[in-house]
Amino acid sequence: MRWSLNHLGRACAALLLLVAPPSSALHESDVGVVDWHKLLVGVPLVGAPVTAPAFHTLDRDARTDRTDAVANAGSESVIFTATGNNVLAALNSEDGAVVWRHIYEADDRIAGYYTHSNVLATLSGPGGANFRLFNASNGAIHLEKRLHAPETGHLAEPHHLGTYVAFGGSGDEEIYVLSDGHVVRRLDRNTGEAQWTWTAEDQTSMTVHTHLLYTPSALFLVGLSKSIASFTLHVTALDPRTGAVLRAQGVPSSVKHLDAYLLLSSQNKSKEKAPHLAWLENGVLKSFKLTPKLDAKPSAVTFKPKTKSTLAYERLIDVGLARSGHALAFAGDGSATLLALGDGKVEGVGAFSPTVNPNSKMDGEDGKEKREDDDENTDSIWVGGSGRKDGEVVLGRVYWSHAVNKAKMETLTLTPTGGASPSLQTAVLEVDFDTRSHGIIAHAALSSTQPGSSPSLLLTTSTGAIQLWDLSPTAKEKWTREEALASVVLAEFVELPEGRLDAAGATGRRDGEGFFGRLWRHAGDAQNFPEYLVGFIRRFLTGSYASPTSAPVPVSLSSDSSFQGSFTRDAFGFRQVIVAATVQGKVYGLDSSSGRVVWSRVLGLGWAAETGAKVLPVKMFVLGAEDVTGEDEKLEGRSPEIVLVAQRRSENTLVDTVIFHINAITGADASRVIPNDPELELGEDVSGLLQGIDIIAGPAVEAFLLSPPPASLADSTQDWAKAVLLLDQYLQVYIYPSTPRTRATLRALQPSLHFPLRTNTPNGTRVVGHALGPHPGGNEDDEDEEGMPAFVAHATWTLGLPPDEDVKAMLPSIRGPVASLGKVLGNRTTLYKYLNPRLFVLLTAPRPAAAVEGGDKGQTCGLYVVDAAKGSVVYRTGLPVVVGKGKEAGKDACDVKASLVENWLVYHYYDPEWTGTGLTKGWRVVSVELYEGTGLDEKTMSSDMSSFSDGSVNVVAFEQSYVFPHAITAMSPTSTKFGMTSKDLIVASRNHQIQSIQRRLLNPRRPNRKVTSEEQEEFLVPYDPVLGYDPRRVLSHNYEVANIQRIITSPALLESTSLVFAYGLDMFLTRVAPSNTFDVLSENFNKAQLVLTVGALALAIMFTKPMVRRKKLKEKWYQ
Amino acid sequence: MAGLDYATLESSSKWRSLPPPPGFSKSSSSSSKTPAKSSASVSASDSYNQLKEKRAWEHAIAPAKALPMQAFMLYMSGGGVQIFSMGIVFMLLLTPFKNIAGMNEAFAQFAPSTSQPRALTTLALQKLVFIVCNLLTLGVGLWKCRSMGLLPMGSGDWLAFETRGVAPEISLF
Repeated sequence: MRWSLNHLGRACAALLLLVAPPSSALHESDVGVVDWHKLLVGVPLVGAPVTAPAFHTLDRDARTDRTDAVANAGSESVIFTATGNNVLAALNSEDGAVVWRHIYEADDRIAGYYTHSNVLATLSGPGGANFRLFNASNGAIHLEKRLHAPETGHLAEPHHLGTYVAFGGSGDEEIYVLSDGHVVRRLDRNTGEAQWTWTAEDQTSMTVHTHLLYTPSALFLVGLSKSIASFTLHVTALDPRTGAVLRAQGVPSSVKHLDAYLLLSSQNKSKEKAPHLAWLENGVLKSFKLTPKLDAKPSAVTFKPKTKSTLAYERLIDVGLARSGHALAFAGDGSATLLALGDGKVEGVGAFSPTVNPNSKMDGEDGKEKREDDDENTDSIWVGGSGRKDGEVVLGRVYWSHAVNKAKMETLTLTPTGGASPSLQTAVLEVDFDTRSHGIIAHAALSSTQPGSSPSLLLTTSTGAIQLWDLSPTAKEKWTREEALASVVLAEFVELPEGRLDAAGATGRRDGEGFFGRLWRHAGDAQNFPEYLVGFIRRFLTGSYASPTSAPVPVSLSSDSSFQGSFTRDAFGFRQVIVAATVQGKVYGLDSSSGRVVWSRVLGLGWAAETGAKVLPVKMFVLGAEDVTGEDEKLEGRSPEIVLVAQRRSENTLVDTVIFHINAITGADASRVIPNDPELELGEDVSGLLQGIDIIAGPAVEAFLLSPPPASLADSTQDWAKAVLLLDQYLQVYIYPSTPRTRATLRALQPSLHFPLRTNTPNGTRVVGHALGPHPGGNEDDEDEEGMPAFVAHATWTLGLPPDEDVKAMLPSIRGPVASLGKVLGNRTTLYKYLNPRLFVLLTAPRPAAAVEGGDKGQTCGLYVVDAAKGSVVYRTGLPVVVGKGKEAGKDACDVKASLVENWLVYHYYDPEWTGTGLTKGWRVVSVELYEGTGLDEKTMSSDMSSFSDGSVNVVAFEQSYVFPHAITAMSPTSTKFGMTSKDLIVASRNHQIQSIQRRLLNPRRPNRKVTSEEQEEFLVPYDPVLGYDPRRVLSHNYEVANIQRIITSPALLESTSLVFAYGLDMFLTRVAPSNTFDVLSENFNKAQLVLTVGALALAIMFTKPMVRRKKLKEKWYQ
Repeated sequence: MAGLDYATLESSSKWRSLPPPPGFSKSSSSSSKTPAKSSASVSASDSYNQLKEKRAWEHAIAPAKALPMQAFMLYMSGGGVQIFSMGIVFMLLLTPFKNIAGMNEAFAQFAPSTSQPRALTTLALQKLVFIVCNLLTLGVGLWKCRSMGLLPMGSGDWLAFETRGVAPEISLF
């Protein structure tokens, strides 16, 4: 990113600096070059059909007036899904691009979406409190209506229970909404006004209504009533025009769960079939014809091909065909029966055995050819779609075949033949699904077969990938979206190593190599020389150097063999690897210059693979290349590595702490090189499951990176190595990697190590400082032992918080190089920075119970800056509590964001106070700078002072508060290689933008008057309470960068430039240069002119030199 | 009689002992006037020494006399760090040292005939005053430097040379 002054204005740059902030902004030409943006939607919620991904064909009539991207792309089919990030998304089925998305607030969870021709309706919030109607093709909101206050809504599990939307009339002008399990409204399509409202009398105390079905004559409302042992179905018929109850009655039935009943209807205009309610009762399928009078009798479902056995059915599943009158019923052994809505009854029209014989024709009779080895295939995932012809039904079953280690997709096309059993065509396709990198298939959806387009299969995997497969003639992967990237919890930048020369060095002599051998090798090495020479000359003449704003050099990753060689860092270090760990148990390596996924690994479950488990990343640390073992010279050229500390929660409630040790460049497992066995070379294993190391049988309390002090200051005779320290529940210390060198480092540093831990005491959550001591049961000289921890942590201090405050979060200070020990003022005096390296920020919140009792009187959210070794509070402040209403009280009362770097603390909060004079409610950003002593020229040497010395909290704080127009979701200061460049604050605001706030605007010493000349020398600007919205500060161009959870920054090789990576729902990376790119020639530098001038001068010298010599000679004659 | 008497200049001439050329003889009148002449020459050399001393004083306080002018120039050159102000400041800073270094040479012409012209002790008082005056000039130059912010006076100027060691306690968090 180039933040620069206009080149014309460069001459008066100094003047500009004095008068106004430099006119720095993102140049439009840099967009897409210096930054990238990943628009993500999140992992689909596959648990319920109303949120799971499904294909939707947009209404043709409505398509004619559309001018959006879908129409241009010529696509008719979009994929709708609600996702775990609370986003409703429409994906283009052709290329997987996001057509539109709508991001819901966190407390407004999507209950379900309902499509109808060209509109899409959603219900969200508790009990479906909010109703929205979207244009399905472009996401424009037609209607937004609050049906009830969210606090009064019933919280249902599953979330969609008791909510439903049905469309009626011709087109979409009549909308019937069921919310909160007992209220039905008919909403006006245009105004959202409720035309009538019907409320169940018993207010869900007995009956929870779950489904709505519209027919012109009646609106059927189906619910579950509690009865003694199970549930009874209850049907209410309402008049669609008036909302009057035509009839309400319970259906004599007994259903066990929500998957045991559904509504079948037929949209077929030509043959009007009465809708039916089908349910399972003690393993028997039954149906009930829905008429306005509800006078039909429940009847058992008949089977068209007479089945020999009565299967005990367990589940009734809508595979997306309920509206065309089809559903699947599953028996306990996995066999399925297709139900179809017939004339006045529900019939079973086909039965499918649980295991599949690819060679056999599937039919009812085939059930007896049951495979003996049930384990050969996994359970099938059934999908359904309408066929080409009218009434044709396409069913698909997706399963994983262990025999061939491939996923298979079996398509069953049922064509009604009129009367007799429908004809059935089957086809089996092998889907080349990569289970090693995508986990297992969690959900599948089949597109409706349209004339002229091939059917496609949409897979959602357990690792959060969405894949579209083209099914004809063979299964081909069309696109994949890695939606797990929307749920990244940890991310770190890893610097790439320099492009490596040959291992022995280019000029080194090799043992046992003769003269000719060496000559031959050198000749081989020189083969690239002409190319290099040409490149050098061209570069010299044209001046086309790499510049900070030039596009990254594309990396060819065609073959995996050249993988590691080609992925090296660029001239300015803009290419780094971002290692991101996700909740889905997948770790990604992203190229920071393009956002491309370089590698991805699925975290293995270890022994818990059989029971099932979830791997949750807890902490991630970057270990340098050479310092892991340090004793094997062969390991010196190793790539940097990532140690991921994760918690494995197995289904049987056991929690383990697992360590994954990954090569950050290739994604290979790096743990195997630790046991100092040179035979175990870095594996080729760069894909698939990554197995971790079980380090603690139990949860880890905390994990820290033990990094040795800087080499220049440390005892040079000591060999240091970075390691990860883990503490188990009993505060025993585990070290990883456990090599003699890391153990020696721990032993050497042990007396000076301190850390705070969050502990639960009877008085609430408190912070307790800890130090390390020798383990009573371990021996300290643990040269060879592996199992027994040598150290155990013990408490040293407790922070005395007010009794009603609880610890909410602890934020470590951001550590980096400190270029200057003080701040020099205009009169050359110095304010020495308070650089205590042990500071951390502690955020507290009033205890929820206390908040309710105390009526929020005098309650504050605390912010403390605490010394970790002694527990002394360096800075403290109380921030106002945001008083919520009803259930929201105390939920997020203290939404404080803070960031501490060097001596600079910034925090952000919402101030609801506005009653006082001169006060306004709104978001505040407060900038605090801590300085040593009591003021000017007073130094206490805080950076190397002991916490236990007298002057350790001898601090003066300058602070200033600013009004910020938006809520901030994440903030981070920029970081550069040597820390000389000023640190801007990068913030992600709730209006989906990334902004950079200049450090000088956040200088807490901004004077409250006109600046004096001395202050002018410091570039101080007068205090302005409002940090107004300035479009020039926006880094994210016009991208929507939504719901950012965290921002991380990393230095590039250029001191002036810092890489900024923001992640949350979306991902965004850019480069910033807070003090302009002072360390590179500007783009406008005229290299050609310089070369020409030098060349012309050389030429002139060449010509004039003999002339001058002749003239001198002549002069000598006349002397 | 107080006119120009070049003969006195020749009193110390090394040619004096030379015999006159042939045909020239020493006039008797000259020999008869010798005592008067010698007294006159003594008084003349005295006045001449006084003159030289006076000139030496003038030379000694010349830098001080130039100060108002230099101050005016400094005032006119402004407070910014530019080529003119820098040139003047350099001049102010360098000339005192140049003057002091060439002081003995400069004062040799004013040295009384009786003393060693290049010795430091000759005209000691004048030289002392001369040094003081030059230091005044230097002071003005330094004052200008300070006002331009070129003198490392504050603690901030020495901040870059300060170092800190390793903290005795390490926080793992």
